[in-house]
Amino acid sequence: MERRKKGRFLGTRVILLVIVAAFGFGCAALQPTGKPKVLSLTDRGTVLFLDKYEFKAPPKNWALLKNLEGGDFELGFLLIEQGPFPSQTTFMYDEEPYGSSPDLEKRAKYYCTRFLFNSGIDLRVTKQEKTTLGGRDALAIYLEGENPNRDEKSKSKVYLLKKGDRIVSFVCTMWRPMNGTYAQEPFDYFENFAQSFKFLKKDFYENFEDELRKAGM
Amino acid sequence: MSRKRLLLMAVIAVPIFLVLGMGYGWAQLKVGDEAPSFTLPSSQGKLVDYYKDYYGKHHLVMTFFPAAFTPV
Amino acid sequence: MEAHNRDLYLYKRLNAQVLGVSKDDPITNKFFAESLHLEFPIISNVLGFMAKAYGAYSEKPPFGPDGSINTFGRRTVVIDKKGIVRYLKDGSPNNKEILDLLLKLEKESRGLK
Repeated sequence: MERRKKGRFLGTRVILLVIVAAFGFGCAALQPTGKPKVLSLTDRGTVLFLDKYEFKAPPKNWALLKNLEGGDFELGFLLIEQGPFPSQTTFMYDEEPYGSSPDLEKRAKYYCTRFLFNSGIDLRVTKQEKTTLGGRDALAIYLEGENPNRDEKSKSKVYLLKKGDRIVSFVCTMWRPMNGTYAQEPFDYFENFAQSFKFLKKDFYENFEDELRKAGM
Repeated sequence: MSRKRLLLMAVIAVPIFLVLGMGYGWAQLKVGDEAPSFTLPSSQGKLVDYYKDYYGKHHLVMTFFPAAFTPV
Repeated sequence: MEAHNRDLYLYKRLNAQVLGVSKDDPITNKFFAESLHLEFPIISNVLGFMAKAYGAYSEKPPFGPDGSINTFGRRTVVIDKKGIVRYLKDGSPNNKEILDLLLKLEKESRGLK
């Protein structure tokens, strides 16, 4: 049993090493001319994602997740943590969270019925509070749940943020086996990410709104 | 009872007229073609008719999807 | 489908309406629409003739793009006010493309550039 645990730990180290190397090389490698760099460092201790966002990134042992062609989310980070499966945390910026209401409370209510609905986790909201993020009205939602059948539990923090006529989100989810212990540090990096997040230019819908006004519609 | 029969008749009859009246066969629809008309029952409890409800009035976005209660 | 619901306020300003189409019966579609809080109708084409005319259904398996048999394929169509098909896309709808097109169609319809 002890030997197996050691082997798994070594395996995790190798995976981490690969991710660090890939992330390191990805950041440092020269991009061919004309192709925008996905992540670039500023001298302010922040990171730029294309020419769209600026934020405080987590340390290099987190892997970048990106979806440039459209998908469930555009930008996020993943940390594979020490310990038996599943021990990992992801956080992301999601431009189109579940639901369709432009009202924060209504959107939150629907969102919580859909969040992680496929995972078998018996999810409950432990806290929900009004707040602001980057000067915009927001709701902070804390969720937790277990799936004993798969020996999994998860803890999440979600920000729903009012951006113009629409609602966007920042989501962090930490996974553990049922007898695992949740850690605080990954959530601190998520907090840095979400609190520091700046939109560098108008998004599609803001531009579209301008076009509608110009056309008198 | 008669409303059910009417609905059933609409569901069966209209597609038959569609096939006979339009003469498309099963040619592939493409951009620039006339949109095939339809009259079908909706989830909001009434018949939706293309010519009555949309033609000359609104642009229409339609999404066909495999089945209710599957990921869309 | 949820994306259409999110964009309803924009469709309204663009004089556009939206419909979902499935092979299920109206009652199933009603509950489905309610479960997603959809505020637009889903129409039932149980026999599949209308979907065939729109290229979203075929009785002969396999049926692309995802190879599913005897259900409708995912397809989005945009028809302008004059009844002409202006956009066809298989797979998940691209809502930004649809909005850009609807703006173009409404400008056309109002005689604007």
